[in-house]
Amino acid sequence: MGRDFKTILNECLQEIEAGQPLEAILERYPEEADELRPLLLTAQSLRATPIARPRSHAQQAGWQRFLGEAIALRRARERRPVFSLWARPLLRPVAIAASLLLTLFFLGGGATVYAASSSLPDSALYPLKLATEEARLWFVFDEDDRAGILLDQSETRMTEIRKLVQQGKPVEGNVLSAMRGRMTRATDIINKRDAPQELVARANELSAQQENILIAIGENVLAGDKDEYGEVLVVVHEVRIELQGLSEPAVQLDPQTLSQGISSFTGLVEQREDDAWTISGTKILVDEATIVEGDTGDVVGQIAQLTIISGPGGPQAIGISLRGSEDLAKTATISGVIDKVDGSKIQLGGRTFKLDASTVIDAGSFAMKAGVHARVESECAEEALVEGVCQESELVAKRIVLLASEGSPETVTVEGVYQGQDDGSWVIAGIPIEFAPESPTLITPPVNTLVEVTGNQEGQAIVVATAESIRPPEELGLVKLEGVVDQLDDNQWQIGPALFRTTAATRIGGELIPEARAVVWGLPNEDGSLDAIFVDVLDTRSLIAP
Amino acid sequence: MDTTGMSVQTLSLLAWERSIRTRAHERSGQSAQVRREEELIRRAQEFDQEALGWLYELFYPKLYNYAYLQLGNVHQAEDLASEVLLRVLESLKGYRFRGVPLAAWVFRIARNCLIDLSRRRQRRPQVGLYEGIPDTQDSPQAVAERSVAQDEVRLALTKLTEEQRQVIILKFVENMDNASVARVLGRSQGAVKSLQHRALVSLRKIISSQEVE
Repeated sequence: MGRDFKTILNECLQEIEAGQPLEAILERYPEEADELRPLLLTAQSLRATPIARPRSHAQQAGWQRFLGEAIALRRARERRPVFSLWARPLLRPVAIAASLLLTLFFLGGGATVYAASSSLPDSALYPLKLATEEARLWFVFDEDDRAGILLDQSETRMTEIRKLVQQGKPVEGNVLSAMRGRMTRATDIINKRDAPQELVARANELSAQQENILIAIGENVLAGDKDEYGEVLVVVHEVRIELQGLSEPAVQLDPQTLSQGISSFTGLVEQREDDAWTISGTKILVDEATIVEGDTGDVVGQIAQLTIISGPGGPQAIGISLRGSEDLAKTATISGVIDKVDGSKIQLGGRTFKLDASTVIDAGSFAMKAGVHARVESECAEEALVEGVCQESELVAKRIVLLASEGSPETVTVEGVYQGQDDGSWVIAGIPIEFAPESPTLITPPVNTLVEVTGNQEGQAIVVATAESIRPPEELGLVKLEGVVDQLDDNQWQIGPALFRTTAATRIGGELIPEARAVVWGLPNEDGSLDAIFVDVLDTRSLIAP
Repeated sequence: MDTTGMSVQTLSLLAWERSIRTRAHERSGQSAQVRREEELIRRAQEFDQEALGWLYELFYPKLYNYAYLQLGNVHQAEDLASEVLLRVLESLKGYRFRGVPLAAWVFRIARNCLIDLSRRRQRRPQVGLYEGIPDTQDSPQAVAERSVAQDEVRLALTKLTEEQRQVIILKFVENMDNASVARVLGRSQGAVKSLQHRALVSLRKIISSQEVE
């Protein structure tokens, strides 16, 4: 296949920029010349657009303001250490007393402090909440205890972010910088001393959870706070690298790159080399700083979920999470309308899912509330599987993706590995699916087939309309992509490094357009691209209305 | 140099050597420019007035032009250029030089300011009371011709998507390369190429229809 048109156009634009005549350029691309000519002429006329020049008095007034601000910033920086009471241990009690008196005087005392304790980052009381937390640390003299409290506070920031996302509110820079600051201070203490192992393990686990949450909430961060978002992603990732004693990354993590969004790629590990892994036909670079979690012995044949960024040499994995293919049996995906949101639980498709610290909520621009169309990727705890059936209270939501502000209230889709029958119910990934009497008779699939059941929910039962085998047992190992979609051709698309094709059989939820964010499940082809089986478009709205 | 009597191979070698020298000279010129920019940024981070002056003089006109093309209002464009440079000043200490032009970082802040302004305007629509007159040294006719051409482009740009508009302005008006545009938009270079293609196709159609009207 020849090169795509957008690449040829880009080359021609570069040649024009280098001063080559239009006709000479077009002669080199005879087949595309007719299509290229008007676009190149448009580009040429744009380059000739007259420049709007600012008024000199306005520019001068702006300079005075700019210079004044620079002087004020320089003075503030020079002054800061001289007047800090907190830097002098003997004066610290005086400072504490003065602060508390001022707080009580100005803010009406304990009631305000109490109200602030439950405030979220969008509240006017939130700075007081952060200040009160800071004050708590003044009375803690044991360094390990200090580190533990700072980790608690960093975890609180993560909970606040989760609440903002659940309520459909944007995530602002104040909570991100507070989370970053506390995590940095905690790990500084841990790194300077021989900290207890449990403290190191907790910091490691918390930074992994924070990284997961941050990757999922990229769309919810205000545009003006994207740089802070990139900074906090770098910090939590580098904390993990430091705590795990890994080498410096070969690809320098750059906040600006991370804030551009990260792609996720899930597939079967086919080959492992020192500097690259081949995942379902796609080569992804790794280095000594790539964090690999799971059974790292014999990785070929395992399912790997990779967090990837664009490196100079191609797609680069910054994190890899490995799972045995048998783990798929514990994982079910249920799509439908949320019935109820109740604190740390949600109800969907007649099932209740627990949310824990590791649950990632991918909300796009929707709030997590009843009536919203969502997809829940759930897992049953190992100990809760009794004879292959999950005790329902133990279903944990690993990821909740909000797909649309509303959906058909009764339609439910369950996707997972068919494990057999129990009292006439099908068991899919540990979840019993009860068939209502009016359900059509369906052919029982072979055990371990990946199936998708769609029907109407009636209480706990599902009136199954269709049941479809997605993959036979010997072929498990679909590839999952998540990220921003780029269109190459009518049916050819790209997410990060991976190409996928939509076919007549592809089920597409939402409007698949360039620049949308989507989750794609597909089957690898011999040429390394994927045939998409489903595409869930997460949010097609651009940052601002044009 | 007298090249009479030299073989074709020798001439080719000379040409090759000259091209290598030219490229090496260009590279050393570029790296000297990069080093100078790096040095000025370091000095600006220490609030050195001369370096701050360089930063302001370099970016104020560019930011004004960028804002004016999108807002179409002299006062708002001036305010935005000033606001962006104040934000640049506040964040400059945290800027880390990684070989990416400073312009990409500055225009990223500018785009964020523009997005925030657009959100505020959606919540609280504003109507401009009057449009200021540029105080340039040009003749009234030149000013009028420039204004008509700018207005045509601005009108066409308003019909593009926000990202397409950014690509057109950054690439063809501010003369940025794809890597820098990708930085500003937070997108891959492949995505920038796609956006560039779609934006030019849309713009061509819009301009053609304007000409018909």
